[in-house]
Amino acid sequence: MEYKIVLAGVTGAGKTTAIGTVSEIDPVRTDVRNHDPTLAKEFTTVGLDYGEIALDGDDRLRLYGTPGQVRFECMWRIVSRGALGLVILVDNSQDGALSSLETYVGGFADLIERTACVVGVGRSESHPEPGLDDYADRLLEQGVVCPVVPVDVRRRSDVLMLLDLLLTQLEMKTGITDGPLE
Amino acid sequence: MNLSESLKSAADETLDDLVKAVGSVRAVVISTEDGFELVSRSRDASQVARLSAMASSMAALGVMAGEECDIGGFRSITLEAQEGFIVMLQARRPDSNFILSVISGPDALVGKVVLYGRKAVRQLQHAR
Repeated sequence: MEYKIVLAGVTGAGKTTAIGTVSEIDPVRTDVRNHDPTLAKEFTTVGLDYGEIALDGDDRLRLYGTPGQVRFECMWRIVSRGALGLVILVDNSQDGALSSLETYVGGFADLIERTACVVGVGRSESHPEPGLDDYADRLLEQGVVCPVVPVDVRRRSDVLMLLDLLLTQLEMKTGITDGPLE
Repeated sequence: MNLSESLKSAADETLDDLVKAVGSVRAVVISTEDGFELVSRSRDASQVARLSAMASSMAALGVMAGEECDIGGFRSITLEAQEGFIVMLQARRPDSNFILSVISGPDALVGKVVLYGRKAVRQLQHAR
């Protein structure tokens, strides 16, 4: 069986990096040159990222990264079809990190309602505020209860932990079972 | 965006030529490869931003599909719908790549749209 997981979040939060860190195939990327002067990056994802992780037996996790900019909301809807869970990445070093979370909780509301969600907070070691509880409170205001954990998307173990948390929630919600990711 | 005014002006002329030559065009947009409008002609201004973003995503997926199937770089996409066509063509320049999107009604001749679309792409590629 194949499980489709979507990664969403603000541009620069590390969605492409996270998929590249854990994927067991060469990730598929759709990065192009960035023309937005407000973003301090040379390239940005405009279509999707794709990677895979093998689970026990013939099962596989298929990871789909989405563009962060709201103007690509059409891709959010396309990629969400058939997905079993959502990982939202936020970047604690960016201004408005808390409000960015609201954008993606709202943008992926249907998927969150149908499935499960986990939030990974990046760069929280160098930028401790807002804290994890602030994110949990903001989620609660939007009617969402889900794990919020610090993450360094360059570390394979961190990204796998996020996915494990997501699968655990799915297991409780849908009965899907599998061992821990390695 | 740091795109020169002369390039925008050339792109504007290109669109005028295209609309005049093809006829029955509902909207035409030249956008950057990351989904920002450069110039456009459309009866519905709100459509332009969304079309620019969609063109960016579709072209990126076209590049990906071309590479995966080992058929080379992306050049164009033609989408036939119940009530019209969308043709998207890529213009490659040394400074940046652009996407030309043409939306036409069902009475349009797709071959004509592609022909004049390619001519517009060449104009844009050689504009200074």
